[in-house]
Amino acid sequence: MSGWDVSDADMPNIPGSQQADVPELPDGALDALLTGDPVTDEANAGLQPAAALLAALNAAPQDGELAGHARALAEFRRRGGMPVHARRSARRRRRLLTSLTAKAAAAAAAAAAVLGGVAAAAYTGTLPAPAQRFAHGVIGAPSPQPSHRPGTPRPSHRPGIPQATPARTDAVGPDATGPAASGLCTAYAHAKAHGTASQKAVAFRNLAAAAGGAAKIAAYCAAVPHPGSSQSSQPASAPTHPVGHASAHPTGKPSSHPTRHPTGRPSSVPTAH
Amino acid sequence: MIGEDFPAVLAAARQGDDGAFTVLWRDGNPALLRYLKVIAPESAEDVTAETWVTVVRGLDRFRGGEDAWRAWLFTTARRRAVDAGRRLSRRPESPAAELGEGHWPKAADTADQVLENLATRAAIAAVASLPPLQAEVIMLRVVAGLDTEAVAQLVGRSPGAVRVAVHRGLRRLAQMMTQAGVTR
Repeated sequence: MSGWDVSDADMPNIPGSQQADVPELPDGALDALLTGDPVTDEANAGLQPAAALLAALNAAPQDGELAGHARALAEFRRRGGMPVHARRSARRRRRLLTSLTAKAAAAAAAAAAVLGGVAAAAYTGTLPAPAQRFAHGVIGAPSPQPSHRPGTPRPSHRPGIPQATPARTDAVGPDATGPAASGLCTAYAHAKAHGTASQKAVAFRNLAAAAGGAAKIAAYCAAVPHPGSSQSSQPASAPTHPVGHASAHPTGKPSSHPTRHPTGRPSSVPTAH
Repeated sequence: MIGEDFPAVLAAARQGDDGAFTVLWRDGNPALLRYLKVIAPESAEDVTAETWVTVVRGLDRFRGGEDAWRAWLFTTARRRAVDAGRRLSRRPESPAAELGEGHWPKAADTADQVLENLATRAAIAAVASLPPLQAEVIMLRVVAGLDTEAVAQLVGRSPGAVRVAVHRGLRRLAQMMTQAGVTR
């Protein structure tokens, strides 16, 4: 252990800091800090101020943190040794995802005018797992995994997805950025009903990204008009109680850092080369 | 965290599905970058990119669930950092200044405010100012989301040593936060 530690005089508020050697921290105490729960055992209550810092460590991805995608994807495509049948089924999957993207974009086009700044600012990327746990504890978000199981019966519901032919043959999944994000509510509902597990995963992740985290999907989709359908396309896995968490609503975001989120975000979009 | 869809996403990525790989990448990349900013601050971006090169090449050989996946990601990142001899050449000038007024939300803050970009950078700088082991285990427990056993294996210490290091580091971070006026 390093000898660099806090002197007792510096830590008047932390019980037990007089002891020269620090005991092991029970895993539960760190979990409490990560989920925003109060640290209940008295010996570790002094750690509470660190909770905000840990939450910041896990905040949603920032601009630069999604910038290396093109490079990583290029490397991914270069990897050799893939069996031919695998390539073929990958192509088939890509076509499905592509048509999903086109449908999402078409649905979104109708809603784009209404959405405006919400969609533009809502993009924050996906939350890492501990952040999702944090959101789960603090703002009543769902736990990190979507609770909807494939095959779970859901209310019969055919969102009126406009038919569209794929506009981009090189698309790799629903694009969560920009106005098209709104269509992801519909796309996810569709993928959930008719898609493969992989399509569901992609649609869910992109929807969560668009909404600013899985926690915000319900509020996000509730605010999006549903072209061609009077029903809600809100995912079954989303929380049903957005009220009471006003601060977590995506619309609160834009004013807080307008200059840090260029709406175009070309570098983070999975483009093909 | 990808959750219950992870096996399907991994399988699709292994078959060459760009979208599935993108899901994996978006899930892992920010956490990798933050971790590497603490253990290899001078070259975090490069090492992150090298990590993905290694991961992509080993994708077909990887077996396991999401926990194992994350452990593998961060083990790979650590190796790349060590290989390059660029690890732990760090320590910001003044972490206290990073945590100072204006960078940090006040006591009555909301979850939204806490999740600010500036706060994240300040938080990473604060952790990076800790002694190396404390800094690393906190990043692995908190940002990588690994459990104590996995972290112990990764850094080559006992689980007890990891828990002690986490405790020391958190005490120091709590103290920094108190000094910076964050009192909740």
